Amino acid sequence: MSWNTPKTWSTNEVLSTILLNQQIMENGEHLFRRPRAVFASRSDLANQTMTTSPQPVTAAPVLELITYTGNVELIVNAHFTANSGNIIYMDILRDNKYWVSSNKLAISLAPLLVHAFDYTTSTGRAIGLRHIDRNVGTGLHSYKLYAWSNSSAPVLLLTGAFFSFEAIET
Amino acid sequence: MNIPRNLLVGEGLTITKLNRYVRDNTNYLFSRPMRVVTSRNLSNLIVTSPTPVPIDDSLYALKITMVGNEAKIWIKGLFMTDNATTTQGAAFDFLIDNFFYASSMNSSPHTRGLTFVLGKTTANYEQSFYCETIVQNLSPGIHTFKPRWFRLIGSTATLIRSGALFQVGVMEI
Repeated sequence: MSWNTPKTWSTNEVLSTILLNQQIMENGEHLFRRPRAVFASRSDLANQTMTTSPQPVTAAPVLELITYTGNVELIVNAHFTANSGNIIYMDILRDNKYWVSSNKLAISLAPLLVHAFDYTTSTGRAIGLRHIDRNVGTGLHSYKLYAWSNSSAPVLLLTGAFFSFEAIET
Repeated sequence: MNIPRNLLVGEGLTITKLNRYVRDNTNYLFSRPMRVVTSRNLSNLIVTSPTPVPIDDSLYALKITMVGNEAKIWIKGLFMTDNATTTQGAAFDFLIDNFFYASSMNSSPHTRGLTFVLGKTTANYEQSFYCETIVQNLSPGIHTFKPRWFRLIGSTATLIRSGALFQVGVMEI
């Protein structure tokens, strides 16, 4: 349902059906269920070994949503195995072009998420990410999740572990 | 919240409709169904069970009445490893009505629950954890969300509540 900019009613203005539907019904419907795209894995998928350069998280689909306010909340839940000293990086590509961390074509020196492991774990550990992507503009937007490491040791656990990639207009 | 519908040309704008679609819906959107429980200084809890058990349903069971089908759930707290030689880890999940959201525990998938906190083999090693996610495909009506946890690594796991914040929440979105 589309969003219509709330209007200021004028004195003696006729309450037309069209305006009432736009201002009350359509806007109410839009606010009731704002645009969103959610991927949540609760069944086994293939694990993904990290590389030292950004690579798409293969399990995560490209999330697409049409926004009207231009602000999008992004949520990631993931589990990684890693060795002590390994660092996990994550960032999100908006519209197949701009990195969310920098709002530019290049990844920021500090990507959206940097997580260092100070111990070795073969069972994994959860990493969560929440970010508000501001002022992306009205229209169709896509988000794609990327992950990498300073080592080829870490593994993104998709077997026996919950994983989600979520976007919702806010 | 009353699901908005288009008015028809010539349809009367009655008081009932105004109250339903303007007053009631504005109230709903201003304050969506939400339940949050925060504890700031209660005694620590220890779990020994390898299968999901309640954290404390007398405190943390969350019940909301939903109009739509989706809700955001979250859990945040402080986890501690209290053993310097044995790795300890705990998994957290939500029991939504009668099913585990992330780990059914009926088969191998998602034995790490919704989120899994693993500690370092260092005494009193503390780390905070936080997880939120959107739950889909719920039916309109009353739903209960109960946090569950279990030890996954080691014989025990400790949730610190003494001098620490622990929060669980659910909100229709």
